[in-house]
Parts: sequence; C-alpha cells; structure tokens
Amino acid sequence: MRAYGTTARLLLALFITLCCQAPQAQETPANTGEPLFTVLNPTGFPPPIERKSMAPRPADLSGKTIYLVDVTFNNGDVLLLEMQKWLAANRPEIRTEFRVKKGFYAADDPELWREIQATGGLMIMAIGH
Amino acid sequence: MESNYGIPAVGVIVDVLEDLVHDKAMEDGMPALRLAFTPTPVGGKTPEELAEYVAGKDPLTGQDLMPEILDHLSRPLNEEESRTGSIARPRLELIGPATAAALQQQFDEKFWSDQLPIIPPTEERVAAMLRQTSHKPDEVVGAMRVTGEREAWSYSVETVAVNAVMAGAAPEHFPAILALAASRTNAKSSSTSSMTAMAVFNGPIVEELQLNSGTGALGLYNKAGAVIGRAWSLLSSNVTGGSVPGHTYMGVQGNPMSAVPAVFAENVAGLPEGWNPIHVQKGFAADESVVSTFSGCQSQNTMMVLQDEDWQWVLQRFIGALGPPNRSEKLLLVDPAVTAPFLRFGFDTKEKLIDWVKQNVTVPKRHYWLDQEVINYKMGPALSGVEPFAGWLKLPDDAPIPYLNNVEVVVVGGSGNVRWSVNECGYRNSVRLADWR
Repeated sequence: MRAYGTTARLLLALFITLCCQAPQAQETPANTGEPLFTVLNPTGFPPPIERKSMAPRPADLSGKTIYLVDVTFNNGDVLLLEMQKWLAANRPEIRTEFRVKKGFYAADDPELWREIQATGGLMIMAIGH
Repeated sequence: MESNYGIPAVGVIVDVLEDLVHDKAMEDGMPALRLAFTPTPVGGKTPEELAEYVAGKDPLTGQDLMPEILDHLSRPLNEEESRTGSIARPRLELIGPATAAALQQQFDEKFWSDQLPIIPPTEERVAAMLRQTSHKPDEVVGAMRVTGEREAWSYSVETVAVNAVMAGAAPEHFPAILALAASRTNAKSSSTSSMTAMAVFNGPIVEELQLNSGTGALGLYNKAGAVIGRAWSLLSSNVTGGSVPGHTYMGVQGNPMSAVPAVFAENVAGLPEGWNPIHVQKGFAADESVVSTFSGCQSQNTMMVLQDEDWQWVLQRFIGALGPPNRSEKLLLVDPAVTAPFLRFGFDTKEKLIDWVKQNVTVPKRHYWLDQEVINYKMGPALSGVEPFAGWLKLPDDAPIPYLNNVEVVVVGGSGNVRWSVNECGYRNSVRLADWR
C-alpha cells in the first residue's frame, strides 16, 4: 500500500475527472451489448485542508536541547531513553531532556510546548506501536 | 508544535504505519512533515533490542536512524516544506458510464465496496430511496471520523441513500438506515484492535420491517437486518473516503463481524416483568421506533445458564475474562430462556444487574496497571491527575479496581437452549426513526 501516496491519489482523481465524466443516461455499446451505468459517488465530503508552515531549523545543533517526548504508548519511553543514551555517547554537544507528555496520548500539552519553546528547544516524539 | 509554537520536531513511528502517518500529516496541513521510522514493532521489545533499532537504520529510507533524525532537525526547509495555502480535494458527483462489472472492479479497488457484489447506485435507484424521507437530498446528516484523531468527513441524505442502494436495501428500509446514519456511530472504526458495531431496533419498526429478535438474530438470517447492517457498514467506510487497509482501516487482524454488523430487534416478548426494553431505558416511549447503537465491539463469549450455588463467581469470571481491563464497556445479550435465574438472584430490573456488574467485576490493581492497553490509554491521564485513574494508581497492589463503566443489557434470542452471551461492545446512542421519515 505504501507506494500509493497522496500525489498518486490526486493524479488518479484528475485522471478520473478528465476521462470519466460523461452523460448520465444509460447506453448500450455496440461491441458488447452490455448496459452501461452512471452511478453516484458513495463517499462523503472531506473538510478543506489549509497548509501550515513548518518551523525554521537551526543551522547547528551544538548547545541546543532536544526534548525526547513520550506519549505513554507501547514502549515509546524505552525507545526514547535509548535515543538519549545514543545522543550522549555520539553527540555530547547536544543536550537532551526526557519528558512524558501529559494526558491521553493524543491530548495537547501546551505547558510542555511552551517550555520547549522558551528554551529554543527541538523535539523528537516517539509513538511506540 | 511546528506551526503553533515554532518548535522543530521529528515524529518517530513504526514503519508499518507509514501510510497512516503521511495521511494524518496531510489532513493536518503539513504533508511534508519530517518523519523517521523504526522497524515494527516497538511494543514488547527489550531495551537492548530497542538500542539496536536506535543504532540501526530507518527501514524505509535505509539511512542511519539517529543521523537522519538530526538531519531532519537541522536541514533548512525547502520550497515544498515552506508552502502555505489550500490543498484541493476534488470529488466527482457521478462515476461512469461503465458496465456493472467495470464499476464493481472500480469500487472494489477503491475499497468503496466490501469486496462483495454491490447494486450500482444509479440516480433512479437513489431517487427511489430518497422518496422515503421528507429530508432534502443535500441535507447534512452528520460526520464521521476513521478514529477520534482523524479528520471528520460529512455526509448528506443522498450519501446515505447511495450506500443503501449499494447494500441491496429496498426503499422501505431507508428511514431505518437514515436513523442509523444520524447516530454518527462508525461501524468501521479504524482502530488497530479490529472493532465492529451492533444496532438494536425497538418499537413498531420491528414488525414493519420484520426484524429478527429470535433464533439467529445476530446473524445473516433476516433480510432487513442484513441489508440495514450492510448499508451501515458501507456508509461508515465510504463517508470517510473508503475503508482502505493501511490508510483508513488499521485493524491488525480484521473482524469477521465488521463486514455486516449485527442488526437485530430486542425480544420484547421475552422481557421479564420489570425489565424495560432498551429504548425505554434511554427515555423513549415504548411505542416509538428507535435504533440504539453499540460500537467498539471486538469479541463475543457465550455460556449456559447460571447456577444458584456459584453464580457470583461465574458471572465475575465470565464477564471479566472478556478483553483487557482498559475496555470498560460490555453488552450482555440475555436470551429469554435464561432470565429466570437472574430474577431469582434479585435482578428484577436490568438496572440492578448492570449495577452489580459494574461493582463486582474487578481486576487487582497490580494487573490493571501492567496491562499494555491500560498503559497506553490510561497511564497518561493517571500521571496528569485525572480521576479515577490517578487514584487507582495509588492503591495497594491487591486492591480491586471496578473498571467497567458502560454496561447494558438487551434481551434477544430464540431460546433453543439456555445460552446467552457477553459482548465487548459499548452503548453509544439511540435515535428516533420518526425524525428521519
């Protein structure tokens, strides 16, 4: 499944738009004699999507703090703590902080985001599964 | 975090969820969100095994994982990543003309069908459905999400009619299907735990459509139940764009009950004195036609009649053994043949039985907090002080935790034996059919 991304789906929709819109009345092709049907779309109506800007990246990570944020899902904390060990051993010039995000795994935690923002920090969020 | 707080971030997730996380990033307006992937799974692995993941490669890009993450955090944004504005989401109103076979293939490939033959939803057939309601075709009935964290797609009366035609429903079934759609209960929820749904009808509609409340009520032995259930399933898939494995359907193993959810009637004739039908329990008049929905259904367990000598122990074990304690919802489907012992045990109303189950089906604190689902869903709230979970975290190891909070009882079955079942299902809501005629 993973090869078919959003671009492919948009192209498919464009292809259908260009080639498949046609009269609604039923017809019978001379070559097969099978009746043709024009049918209604069974899908719902997706909400609009407004693109959001990503955060600018620092040119150098030296002296920066990376927050390793756990959402309490399926061993994500253990994975992040191993990342913290790897960073200490391989990139000691980068500081790290391990944090457990508050609440249910999908819940917002503005207090933590403001803390990271105030320190000019960066974030790795691991979602175990 | 990226847009609202300006925090450079990288999400790390298992590779099997690649499509899902890219879809989610797109829905949230950040299609180029920087992500990194570990092998699957992370759950159940030891620290030593996860250290190997960290020191190893991203299985999708082949790059060393940690240098890749650090690159994501420090590489300047490119043009695509800096772009803003709207993303078009084109939607065709009509499809075809094409032969029935070609349409079937197209619908199957898009996962707009359930991979079984559908009735082509022509304008004429859809119009026949729409004549069964006073509501306008373009009226929005509701919205559904694949899961709680995904975007909500809306659907109209006409959308419901299209899916009803595809399912093989007759026009007289349409008000019942429309009421089910108005419940907004998704019968095809995309949880990795492979959930399905059930719907119970009460009132005059049961006689009108000849819905089954007896032998085989939960199975495909009744035309109305089968087509209404299939319409509900197709609708639930299609109003969110189709139920596409890896994208909008994530059930790890799938669920055989999700193709056609159980749609049946309560066996009102089998209710003992004092037990009200479920629609009356929910505040409707007995003579109103109502559909009550249940979702989060994952499994069913059956047993025979309870014995006077040890019914408490058996009931605790029977209900408590079904699913992990994170799942706090149960539906007891009681055949009329087994109601007599419940009355003997003092349950002269459904509510007394429900209260007993909520108070007496428990799990020791130590085992509650060792359950992986509980850790995933309840540990975060507990650590944040959310009750009752924060309090449960402080209990002694052997303290009993009464974890059930959504328990219902429906009487159904043909009494061919003294059997009944407990189902992992949670009550959602009840909808009056008269509002959708």
